[in-house]
Amino acid sequence: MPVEWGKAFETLKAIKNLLDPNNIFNPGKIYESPWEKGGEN
Amino acid sequence: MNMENFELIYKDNRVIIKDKPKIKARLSEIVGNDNVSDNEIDILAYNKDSTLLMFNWTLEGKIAALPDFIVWPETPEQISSILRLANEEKIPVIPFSEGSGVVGGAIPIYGGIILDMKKFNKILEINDKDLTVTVEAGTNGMNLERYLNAKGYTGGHIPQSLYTSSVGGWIAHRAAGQFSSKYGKIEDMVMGMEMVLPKGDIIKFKTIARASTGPQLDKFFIGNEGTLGIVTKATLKIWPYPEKRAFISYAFPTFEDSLEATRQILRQQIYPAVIRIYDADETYRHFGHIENAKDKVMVIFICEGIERLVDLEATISRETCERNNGIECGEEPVEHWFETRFRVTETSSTPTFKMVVDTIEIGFLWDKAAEMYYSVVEAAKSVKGVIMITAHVSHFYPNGVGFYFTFAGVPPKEKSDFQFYQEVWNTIVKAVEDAGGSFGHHHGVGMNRSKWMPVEWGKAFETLKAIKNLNE
Repeated sequence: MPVEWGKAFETLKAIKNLLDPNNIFNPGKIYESPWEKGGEN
Repeated sequence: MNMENFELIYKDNRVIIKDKPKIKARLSEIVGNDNVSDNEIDILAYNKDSTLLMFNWTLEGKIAALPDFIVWPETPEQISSILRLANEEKIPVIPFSEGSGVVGGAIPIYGGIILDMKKFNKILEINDKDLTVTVEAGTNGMNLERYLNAKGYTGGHIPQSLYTSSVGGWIAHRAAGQFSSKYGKIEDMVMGMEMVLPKGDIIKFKTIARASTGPQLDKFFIGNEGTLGIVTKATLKIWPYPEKRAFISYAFPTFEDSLEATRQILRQQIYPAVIRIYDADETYRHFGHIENAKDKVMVIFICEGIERLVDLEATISRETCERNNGIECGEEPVEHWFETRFRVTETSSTPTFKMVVDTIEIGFLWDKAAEMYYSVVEAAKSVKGVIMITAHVSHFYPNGVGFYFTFAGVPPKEKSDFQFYQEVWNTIVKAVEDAGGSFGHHHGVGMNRSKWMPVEWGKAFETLKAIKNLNE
């Protein structure tokens, strides 16, 4: 996502944070990538 | 010219810039001395846009609002620096390009810096296979369309203001052109954008035909009217210049017949580029010389594209009109419209006759379109002083339409022009909102419709305001 969106990704993340400050709505997608840790567990 | 001879209307809450020479020096450092002005003649020139009531004010020696500085930046980085300075000093920045908006969107109501985009005027690249043009946002509409035509394309966005509007202005207020049934509104045409956000960050949205990479944030910024960012560059769709145009016109016995015929045409997935229905009063005004249209409702069509498709679209459109009681009126009414379609002087000359005139464009779904038309006409007629309320339907979609109302009146003695103007607008917008329509189809919100945003948006307006607040 940061590669696809560039600087605009910061804007998208700021809006996500505004609307969902506790990150309860479908966490772990789009705005963060815990998937990357999968192979390490 | 002496500005003291003018009465300033919006003088409350003006931002007082304590050290103007310092701000001017800092702006000059950013854009160069030649690209900053606080000369009286420039300040005065940017006091209004093309809101019709403001012409009445000018004739009465009144000025809407005055900016403190005009700047003409040449790069997104310069805009970024101007915005950082403005945030530091808490000075309003008002994006501006050609000032042809009609709802007060570019009025410097609290003073501040006019950010004039006219130097962003380069047409950067056409990609023939992708069918895109990349253009700087201050580019004039007619300059772009002529350039495209010369290379064998059309931009498909042909507003009445083509000579007096810019690409950035179109995107800023979610504009529509006269050929929108085929090519769409501007939000359908933007493929990619570069913009500067209020805090000065420069962001770019990738040019792509379609994607599934998160929310359509680029679309969110279309229509922000310079309140959430300013577009500096855009990549737009283009189309091969039409091989053929068919001019078609029919007159209908009733307004309902004309709506029915046009709805059925779109339902068959036939998309004439131009469709325009004129109610009986406007038919008389514009087509009084057409014998077959006497006491009727005129509809004009332009089908355009490759010859074989145009012929088919024309045939199906004609058959559908005839099935719905349409009487053929030939090419002449369409030619008449085609030749006069960029004339913006007709309404702007009315203030000299001491009349208050304005236009209001609204969006309706098909199901209640006729009903809504009558309720708006009735509502406007109920206002004392209104002498004319007419409409044409100028934008057509398979699911709905855009109406364009024109009202004219003379304020009763006890009311000022402004009070009368407000009463007519409020009455019409209330009728539209009560009937489930949208108060704006393509002119934007600006100053004179802002108070209706909570009604139009409902709870979602709180979300929009929170995002505005976040970005600031």
